Amino acid sequence: MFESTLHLSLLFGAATVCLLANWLARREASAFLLALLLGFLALLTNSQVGDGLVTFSLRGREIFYLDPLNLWLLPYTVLIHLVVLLCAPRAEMTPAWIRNLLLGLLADLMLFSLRDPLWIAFAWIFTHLGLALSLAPVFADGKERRFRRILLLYLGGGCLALVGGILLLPWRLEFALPAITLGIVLRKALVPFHPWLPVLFERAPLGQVIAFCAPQVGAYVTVRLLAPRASEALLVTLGAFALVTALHGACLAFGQKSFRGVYAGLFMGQTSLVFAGLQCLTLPSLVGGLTVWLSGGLSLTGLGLCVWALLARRGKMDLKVYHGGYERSPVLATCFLIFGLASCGFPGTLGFIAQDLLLQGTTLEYPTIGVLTAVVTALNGTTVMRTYFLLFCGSSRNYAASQSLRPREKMAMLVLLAILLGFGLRPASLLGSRLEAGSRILMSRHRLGLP
Amino acid sequence: MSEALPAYLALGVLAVQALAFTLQGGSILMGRPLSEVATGRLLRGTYSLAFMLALASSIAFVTSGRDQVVLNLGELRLLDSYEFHAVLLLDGLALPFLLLATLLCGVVAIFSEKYLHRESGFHRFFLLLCLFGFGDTLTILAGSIETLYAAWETLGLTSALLIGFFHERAGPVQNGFYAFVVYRFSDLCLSLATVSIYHLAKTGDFTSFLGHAAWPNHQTTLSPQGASLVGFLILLAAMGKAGQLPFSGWLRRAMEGPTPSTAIFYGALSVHAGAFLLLRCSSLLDASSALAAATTCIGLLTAFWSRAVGVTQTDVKCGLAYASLTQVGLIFAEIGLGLRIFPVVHIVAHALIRSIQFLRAPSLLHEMHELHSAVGGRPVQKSAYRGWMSKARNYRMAADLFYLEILVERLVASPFMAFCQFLQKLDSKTLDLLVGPETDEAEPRV
Repeated sequence: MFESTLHLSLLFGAATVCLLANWLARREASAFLLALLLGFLALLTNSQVGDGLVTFSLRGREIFYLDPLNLWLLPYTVLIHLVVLLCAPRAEMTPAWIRNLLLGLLADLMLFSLRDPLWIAFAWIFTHLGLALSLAPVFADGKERRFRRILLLYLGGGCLALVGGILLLPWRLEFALPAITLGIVLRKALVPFHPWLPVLFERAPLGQVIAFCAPQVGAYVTVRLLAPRASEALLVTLGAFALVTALHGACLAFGQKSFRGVYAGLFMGQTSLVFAGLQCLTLPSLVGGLTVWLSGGLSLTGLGLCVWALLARRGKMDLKVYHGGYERSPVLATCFLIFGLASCGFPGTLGFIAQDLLLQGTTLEYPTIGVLTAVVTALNGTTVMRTYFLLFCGSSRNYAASQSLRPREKMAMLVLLAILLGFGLRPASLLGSRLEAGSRILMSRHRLGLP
Repeated sequence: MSEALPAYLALGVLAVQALAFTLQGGSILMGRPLSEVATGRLLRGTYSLAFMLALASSIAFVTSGRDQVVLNLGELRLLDSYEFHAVLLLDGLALPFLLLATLLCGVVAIFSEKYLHRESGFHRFFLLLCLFGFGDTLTILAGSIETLYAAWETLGLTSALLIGFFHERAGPVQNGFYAFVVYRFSDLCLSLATVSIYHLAKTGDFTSFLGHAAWPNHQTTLSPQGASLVGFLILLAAMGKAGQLPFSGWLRRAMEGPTPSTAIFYGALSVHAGAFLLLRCSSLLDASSALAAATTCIGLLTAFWSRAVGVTQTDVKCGLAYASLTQVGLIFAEIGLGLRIFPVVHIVAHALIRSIQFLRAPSLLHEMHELHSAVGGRPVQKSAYRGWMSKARNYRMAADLFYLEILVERLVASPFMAFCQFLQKLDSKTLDLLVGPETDEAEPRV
């Protein structure tokens, strides 16, 4: 009862504040998100969801649902949106911007609270709304027609495929599951349906992009809809796409001349490793994939915030020359390096444990996947170091703006760092919940007689 | 407790360094770095305490009469198929290295306090020195392959950052990156070795898969094929870290770092980490004669190569670096030949002498200049280029590192960069095909 009441109250609170968003300034919105985060943390620490708990149903049809998988995803999503809000440059801070961010958050929270395929389809479409509204002014002057066409083609196509697949689910499973897979592949930007992601990172407002991509709703839908039902062959195909994407993203990031492009490549490469873990269907690989989801999401969010802060201070930068400026922003440089390395599994961070689990879990069944995962991680680590050297080393230039971080930015980054380092040193509680979630995926497959 | 006392004391060495690192790192992150005096005191106190703890640990170990002490720090176990075991192992191999590491870190910290006085990267240097000290101590004390892997990555990172210490110039930064790429390859090999060990032995504890007996009498429990596979990966990891052929190109570049870090990394501790790893896993070499032969060949080849390249160097630090590499090559050869105690003595003696040579290098040059002024010119010296090296073509080849870097550039770096750029173009062409070419005048967003 406690869990249901709290969960519904938090979702209701999020929806109410979205309606009031036009009247909120950063301070009020941050206070609201902090309260929401504390609420979800209270739910996480005090609830006993065991085998899953339906927190709200309508006419006998289950709507909101809690289990060990989404119990951690809810505070994780709120945290991402909170740090994005704290780090947003003042120039971008308009009521509309806050409203779009909160809409995106509400959509993600709803999606992460759902299990029923039809409701998931509805929430999936809703998750695009925040990004679409924030891009509306970019498209308004008619200069970004190609960009709009790219997003319509890939994200619109993804929505159509997923919704179509879900509608077919009760009738024709053999068509429904490939269609859902296509929807997920399009949204997760897996090769060969990936070219929209670098363009989005290059051209869209970075805060919205982080908030849109970092929660990784595609992975959630995979766990909820595909993993319990799909044949091994389909999951292996998805895993193969993911591995090629990881390698492709790592190579793209390494060869990039554009600063945002490097971030896009790293994001593509590291987050697709989640699928490499999910497809192997062994418990350690599933736990590895689910942990990389959280660790990669948090560290790439941190890295994105550093990129955003740097862009706000220095303007557009390419990676053909050394930009210097370490002395003027040592904290930013240190955070950039730590977040970057944490996303590639540097020791002492949560990423290390996650990558180790993933590596050992995948190699158990498919040694090639294990080797490729290790290669991708090594390559991405090299890219992070190269980018760090290019951005913060070399002769210092005279930038007009102050290079140091503002207190709210510093606080947001230090909180993320503390979480990554804290769980890196004591990961037991997090891994315990991932283990439960992984076991439930395997159990649901066994119930349907799938291997 | 009394049986594990030496290991607890060794754990103390790790703890004091971790504490010093946390204090320094925390103060820098909070925007209030410690003063130079406070940093100096902190480091002196840390390394004095660390050395005393290492000494006490050695005495306790010797008086205990045991041949190895294992200390479990904790394990993370998920079912039967995954475990992460943090464990320390103190034995006849770890102790001399532990004493050496704490002594040299302390000496270099005291030396650097004056040497880097008022240098803009003063705090950064000491922070990285602390992290390196921690990583090196953990490498030495690691009792499981996963603990060693975690420490191994730390060594690579600190090394690359210290090579690029004078980062306002592009040269040191490029060289730091070059070294990092080689280290990353070494990390990759060790990571694959870790996974292979888990699958073959179901445990990463050295006392299990390398044999239950204490070093150097242990015998691996892996099958000959398994030992060869893991040994090969570990040899590659060791070669990268120790700058053995074909990974030797980074060593000359590493001389761009400040002298104290050069002394401790490439004269003493980091450059010997590869040899330490081979010694630690020596039972794998014992199980595979092909691997042992390969280790000897690589070591000898590197020794000859670096000797030839070393005499063409015109810079004192580069000359010392190649002299170091020659010795490390010989140490590899000794390990491959089945010697165990002798390489340890060789490493300790070489590390002590070479680090002092590196630390003395700047003042030695100054003294030589004074001497030359006093005697009215440079004394006539016999040419070092005799025999094979006296021919201009051979000299040029040696000065060009026998085209090693050009080959790496042409065969590895350039094709890989071309491939990355091809992928970028492919993406762009795909989009052009689907939504038409880019005609918008809009600039990408800042």
